[in-house]
Parts: sequence; structure tokens; C-alpha cells
Amino acid sequence: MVHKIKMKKKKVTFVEKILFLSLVLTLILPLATAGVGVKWSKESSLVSENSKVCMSYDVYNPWPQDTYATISLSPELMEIIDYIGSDIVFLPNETSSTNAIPVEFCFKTPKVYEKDCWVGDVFFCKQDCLEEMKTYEGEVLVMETSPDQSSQSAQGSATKMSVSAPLRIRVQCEAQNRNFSALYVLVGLIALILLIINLVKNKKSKQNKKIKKKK
Amino acid sequence: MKKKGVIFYRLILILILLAVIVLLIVQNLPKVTGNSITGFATSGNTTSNVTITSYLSIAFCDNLSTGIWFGEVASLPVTNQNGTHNADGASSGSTYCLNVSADSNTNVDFCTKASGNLTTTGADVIVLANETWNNATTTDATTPSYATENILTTDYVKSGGNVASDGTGVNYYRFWLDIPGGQAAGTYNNTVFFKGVNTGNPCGA
Repeated sequence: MVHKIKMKKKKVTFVEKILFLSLVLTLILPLATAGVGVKWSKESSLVSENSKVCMSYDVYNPWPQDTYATISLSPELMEIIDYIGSDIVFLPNETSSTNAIPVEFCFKTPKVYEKDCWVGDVFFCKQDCLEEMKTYEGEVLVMETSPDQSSQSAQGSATKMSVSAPLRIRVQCEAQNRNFSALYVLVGLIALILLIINLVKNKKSKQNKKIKKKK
Repeated sequence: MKKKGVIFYRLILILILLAVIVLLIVQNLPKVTGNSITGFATSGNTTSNVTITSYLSIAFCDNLSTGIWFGEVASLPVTNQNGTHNADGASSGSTYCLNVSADSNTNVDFCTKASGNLTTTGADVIVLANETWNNATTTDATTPSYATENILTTDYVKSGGNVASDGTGVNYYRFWLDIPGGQAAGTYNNTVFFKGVNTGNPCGA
């Protein structure tokens, strides 16, 4: 009888333990769905103007459900960027930061420094780089993208989530002496045309002489 | 005599052509190679290097991932209509929340904004100032407090500060909506955005 009572006591304790653990887990980890994470080791980048730049960020999903993510830039950085290209990335569940998936995105920087040109904006230009280096601050945004948005609220507010990493882009000015290439090409073309005319004329006069000699 | 003149003329033209080619190369060579001509120098050096890595991850709780619903309202006006999950958790707490993963090496600040007014497909509007929220890192019947409301705006504002990244960090929310009398019937929608940033960093745009 005493043994039976002890056994019952043990069972209750075990069930209690399980209940207690479930309660603690429920309190500590409220039911989480899919999430996104970003890992970065660079917060500033020195880029040349008018060039295509590619950067890589690691994204991960340590949560219990699969998800998708996209990378974009905050509006402050979109100001200086002509285009941005990045795909939707599939993030399997339980992808830890150590197994993060690298995502490369590319953008094109426009011309931000003024050139001193003699003809239009293209010919006989020089760049002194007297202006201060231009710096643009913003963020790289990793946004969770669900391919099926139908689960979102039909009445009220839909919700979206992102994580961000700060990014400072410094646009480098490259000093250039005045470029006379267009003039050199023009002179070269004139010399080539004159040479061709001279050779053709000479060939014709030789042919005329031969015809005259035959006659 | 005439033949010599012609040869001299051609020679000059060929020299001009060669000079043009040389000048074009000299002018554009640094651009192509990225180098300029310099002298030689020898020195010994070694590099010291360190890479600092930051990482953070967040996730919606189930009930926030499906959106913020204020239910069907039959009689107007309504002040502080509760979000449907404002108090359906343990101890009447909220189940609108965001979690910070333990797989993060920095605590997280949360930022919130909305896309704009709540609108119907027929362009009826409930102004965004009528949609309000409050937040806390714990929840029960009175937390996040019903007494303090923050108006949602179209710019990000900090909505949760220094939420722990040790696996226990959760940011709970409550949402309310005021609907004025005479508001046209309809289904009103907008989008609310949540962003996780490294603690101390600004929310950005």
C-alpha cells in the first residue's frame, strides 16, 4: 500500500514536471512562425561613381518554419542608386547564423561629381575632385516575403516584418586630366582619309599612265 | 621631284597616325590598367586584421503574422476598439508579439510604421491617427498598458528598445482603433510594418 502510494506520487511528479516544462517553454517562446535574420561584417563601402557594385549579405532563419526573403535598400540609399537587383531567397527552417545563406545584390552608382567639359558633357572633360567626398547613409533591409499573402488579415491591418543592417556608402571621386582623346581621334581620322585619297589618286594616275602607254 | 614630294606627304600622314595612336594609349592607359607609372620601392610589412560581425533575427508570433484585425463593428462611433488578440493570451495578456532569436549577437530595437490610412476599395478612409498601439516586453491583463496609446505614423518610430537576444526577448503589442460615427460601411485595410535594428541604431526610413 505504501509502495503504491509512493509510485503514484512519483507519477504525479513526472507529469507535473512535464507540465511545468511546457508552461515555461510556452511563456519563454510564444508561438513563433517564420522569421528572418541578417548577418553582416561591413557597415561602410567605398565605391567609384558611375560603376556597378555588388555586395553580399548573409540571411538566415533560425525559426521553425520555412520562409522567403528579399534584400533591398532604404530610401536614403535609393537616392543615389540607379537600379538594384536581388532575387527572392528561400530560407529553410532552422538555418542558423553559422549556416547563413549569402545573398548578393548589385546596384549602379550614378555620376555624383561635376566634370568640367569643353563640349557637351562628354568631350574634352577634366575632373579636379575639389568637392568633399559624398557619403550616403542608410540601411540594407531584409524583408520576409511570403509567396502566399492570402493568410494576411482580410479586415484591418496586414503586417510585414524586416531586419536591417546599417550601410554607409562613400562615393569616390577619381581625378582626371583633360581628356583630348576625341581630338586625337579626329586628327587621326583626317590623316587616314587624306592618306586613302592620296593612295587612290596615285593608283588612278598609274592606271591612266598604263592606258596611255598602251595606246 | 614630284614623286619625292608625294612620299614625304604620305610619310607625314603616317607619322600623324602613329602619333595619334601613341597619344590615345598614353591618355587612356591608366584608365584601362588602373595603374600609373611609378618608381620601384622595397619595404617589409605585415597586416593586422579584424572582422567584426553582427547578426540578429526576429519572428512574428502566430497571431501578429496573420495581421491585426479589429473584428466586425456594428454600432458607431467606437473608441478604442480592441485588436482581436489584444487580451487572448495567458493571464489575459496580448498574443500580438515579435520574438528575438537567441541566434543573435546583439539586442534588438523594434520600429513600427504604417503604410497610410485604412481604406476600402471604394476609397472610403479611416485616418491613420485613429489607429493606436502600445508595447511592452512582458504581457498580462494590464501590460502593455491600455492607458497609454501611441498613434501609428507613416514614418518608423521606436516601438521596443533593447529587447534581449538571449532567447527570452519578446516584444508584445496591443492595437486599438477609433471609428467615428457616420463612417461608411466597408472593409478597411492598410499595412503595418515592423523592423528590427541593432540596439542603439536609428529606425531609418
